[in-house]
Amino acid sequence: MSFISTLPWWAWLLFALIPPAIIALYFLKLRRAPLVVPSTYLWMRTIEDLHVNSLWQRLQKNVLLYLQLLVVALLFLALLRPGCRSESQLGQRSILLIDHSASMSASDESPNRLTAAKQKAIKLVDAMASTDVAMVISFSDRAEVRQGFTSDRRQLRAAIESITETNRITDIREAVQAAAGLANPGRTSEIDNVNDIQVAEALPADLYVFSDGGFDGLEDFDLGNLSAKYIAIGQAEPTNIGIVALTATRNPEREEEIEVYGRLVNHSSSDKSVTTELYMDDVLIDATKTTLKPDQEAGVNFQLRGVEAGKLTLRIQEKDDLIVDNEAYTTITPTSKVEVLLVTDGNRALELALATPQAQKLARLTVVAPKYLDSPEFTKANNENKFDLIVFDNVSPKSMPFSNTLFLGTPPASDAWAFGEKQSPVMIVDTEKDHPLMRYLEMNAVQIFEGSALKSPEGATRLLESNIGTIIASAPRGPFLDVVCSFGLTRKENDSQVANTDWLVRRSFPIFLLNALEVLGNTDAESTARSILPGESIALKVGQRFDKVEVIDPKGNVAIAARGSMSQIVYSQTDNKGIHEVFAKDSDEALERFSVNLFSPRETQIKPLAEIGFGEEKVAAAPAQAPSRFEFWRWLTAIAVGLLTIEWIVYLRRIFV
Amino acid sequence: MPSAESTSLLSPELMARLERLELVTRKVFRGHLKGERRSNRKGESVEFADYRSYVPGDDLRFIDWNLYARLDRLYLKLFQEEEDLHFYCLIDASPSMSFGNPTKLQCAKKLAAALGFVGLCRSDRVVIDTLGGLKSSAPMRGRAHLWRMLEQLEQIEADDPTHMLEGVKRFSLRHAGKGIIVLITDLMDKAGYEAALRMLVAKQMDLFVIHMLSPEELDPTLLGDLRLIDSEDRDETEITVSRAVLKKYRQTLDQFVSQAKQFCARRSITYMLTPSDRAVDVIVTQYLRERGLVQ
Repeated sequence: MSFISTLPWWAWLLFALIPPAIIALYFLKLRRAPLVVPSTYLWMRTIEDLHVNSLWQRLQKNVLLYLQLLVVALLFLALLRPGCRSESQLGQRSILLIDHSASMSASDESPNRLTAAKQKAIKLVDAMASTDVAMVISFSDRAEVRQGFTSDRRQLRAAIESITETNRITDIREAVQAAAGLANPGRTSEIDNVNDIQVAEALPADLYVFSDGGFDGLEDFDLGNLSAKYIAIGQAEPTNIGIVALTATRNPEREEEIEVYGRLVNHSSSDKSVTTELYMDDVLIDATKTTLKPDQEAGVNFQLRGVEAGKLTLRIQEKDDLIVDNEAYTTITPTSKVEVLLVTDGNRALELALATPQAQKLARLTVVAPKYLDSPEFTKANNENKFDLIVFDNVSPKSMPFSNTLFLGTPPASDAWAFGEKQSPVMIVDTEKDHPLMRYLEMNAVQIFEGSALKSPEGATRLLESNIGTIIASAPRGPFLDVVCSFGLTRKENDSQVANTDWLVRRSFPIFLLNALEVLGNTDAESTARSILPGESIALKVGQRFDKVEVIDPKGNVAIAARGSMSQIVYSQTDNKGIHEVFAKDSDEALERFSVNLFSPRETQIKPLAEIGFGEEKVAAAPAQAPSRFEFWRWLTAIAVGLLTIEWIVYLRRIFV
Repeated sequence: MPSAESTSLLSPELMARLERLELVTRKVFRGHLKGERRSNRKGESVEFADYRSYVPGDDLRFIDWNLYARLDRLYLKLFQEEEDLHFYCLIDASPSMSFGNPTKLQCAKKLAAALGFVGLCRSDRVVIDTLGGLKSSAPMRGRAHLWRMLEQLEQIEADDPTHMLEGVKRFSLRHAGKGIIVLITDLMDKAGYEAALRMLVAKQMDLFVIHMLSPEELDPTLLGDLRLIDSEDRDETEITVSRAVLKKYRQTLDQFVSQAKQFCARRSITYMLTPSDRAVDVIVTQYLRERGLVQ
């Protein structure tokens, strides 16, 4: 038998004053108003049944007092929380890690795994001694400290209750690192870190992991002073069939044909025959039946014809324990071409390079003379943001346009950009092949007759280096990207244009332009929306053109995504599964769509692991029932309430008899 | 002789109404003096009662000579003896009689004064006494004794702690005569009133019990936690008075009154319950008249 103090000392002091107060009140109550009456004869006869015998009368006189004192004594005992402690309770310092990833939404536990985990954690908290402290960390793909170390069980319970389900994947590493940081001060858990020294006294703690074990990444983790206990959540044989992939691609030969490909996996202990349905804008358009053996993956194919655009939903018609992976989403986007404006006095080679079949698939080219830049048509088109890319060939505009630019041979109309003295010859030294603009380019053999060293603004990316310095660089300009080539493709010689480089005849030139169309033209060869995992951040493509956009999630919630100080708009409110649509302000047409899907084989495999590993240490699942402490306070409170009722009845009898 | 205005016990109007009344008894008692009441004894009055044969020594004045002339035998005429009536008014002057407005004792004194006045007017022997016993409780006869009777009544105070039985014993020893006894009491004797009444009944007297209770006793308005102190023996009773308790009290009072009524009825005692705030003239001229004490 042990007691747990539930009140601070001053509260106990106040409580101790209650019994004397009751006795005092009882005596005060006894101070009845005296009243002289002719005779008490009739009054005595009236109440004579209350005076049956003197012993009972004496008892009855005080029975209310005794009952009240007994009630207070019982409440006093109840507040001390007497109970039988078992040895397997929470330690003096405990860290509760509660998994709330997508797999914890599985309904093999009633009502779901997360609720079961929370109940077990709360049981542990309820069994804490008053001197014990605990903290609560929830984790999915990120960790969140819900409650720091405290002995306040109410706060711990509230922190546990506040954990909600998510659709996210599981990454426990951040959570255990946070826990280890508290238990192993000065430790970074990096084995080879020579600076990893103990800076404070280690405080051993018990680490309780409430999870189904659907995570990894702890192979090199050192528990140190942590004593891990793994409480497996979930039934041993759950049933789950999930979609782990969904893509929709246009047939390169026939653009009107779209191939939809989904991938299913069966994580059940028996064969499953499932019907997979494909919906286009919530209308069923196709379905197929697939039989899957345990732990087998299988693909499903659908062919769509004559579909321009729409939202695709792939749905498994099978009741299983995890429903979050039974649906997958993607979109088909219409084929759109990049609007390219070529401003040149005439450059046949350039025009040809931009007119290759591949380039024509991507872009619609408009060739204009430099004087077009001064026309009202250009001003109007520029204001309407008509052009995705403007290529300036030996021409420089008076002001920078509202689009991406490629400058060839002239610097942009900006002080940040400048050309040095023309030098000759120019020998290419290095190519930034990792950059999307320069991929697949072989530039070492390219000969350039003359060129200038390029002075680029801060933050610019040097794409091509030569003996005279940088000759191609890119730099962001607000939402736009400028690429500047400091050597012209042609040069004037004796009033005629002659080639300045043999790049024009090399294979790398049209490839460079194709890269430029893809990168600067914001085009995407894929016909489907990008898919990300729930909770994952996404850089919006339209971020180059807008400072602020509205994102509407599948539930209709509208969020404003702004550029901030970054060069692109990064959107992170992606917890809801489904198609998210990006709109410009006051625009009805979605600029961009992306889908959020739980394409995670790890989350789809919901069978709880029998053990989890922390580095070399393996921790087996603890028994399902959490260690508990038998409490008497509920019984004591119930008895006190019963006594209070009796006291009330006795009082009423005294009044009304 | 005190004027009617000099006392609060009898008003001139009441006296004028009472003069026409007389005390009536259901029994015929032997008086000491010639009075205005027929006796069961044959005596010297104007009212003929019977004849009897003459025996030597009889007063020759009462021989019916007319009858002798017709029958030639001597018969003596007997006349109804007219004697006075003994009227005793026994007042309970215990402290419990000092409650009410006016007090029960005051009402009892007024009632005794009224009945005594009726008796004095009819030349009955009127005795006013209390259960504790007055210093002077000599019989009074004739209107001339009205002042003495009122003086006696005025002197009665509610400070007599004598129990009913003891008071009746003392009364019986002091007054051996027979007649009408009017006992004015609240019957609130923890030792019980039954033995006392039995003793009075045993005296072969015509007993009237006027049970006087104050309105506070008949319909108490107490409420809450109280320590009731008995005015007679200072006995204390703690009680939490609620509506339920009041209801129970009224039931107890009804039972008490009913028991007293039954007890009296079985023993030919005339019982009358009256609240202390009822007017004396109403009690005398209406209620006691109905019960045959006065006519």
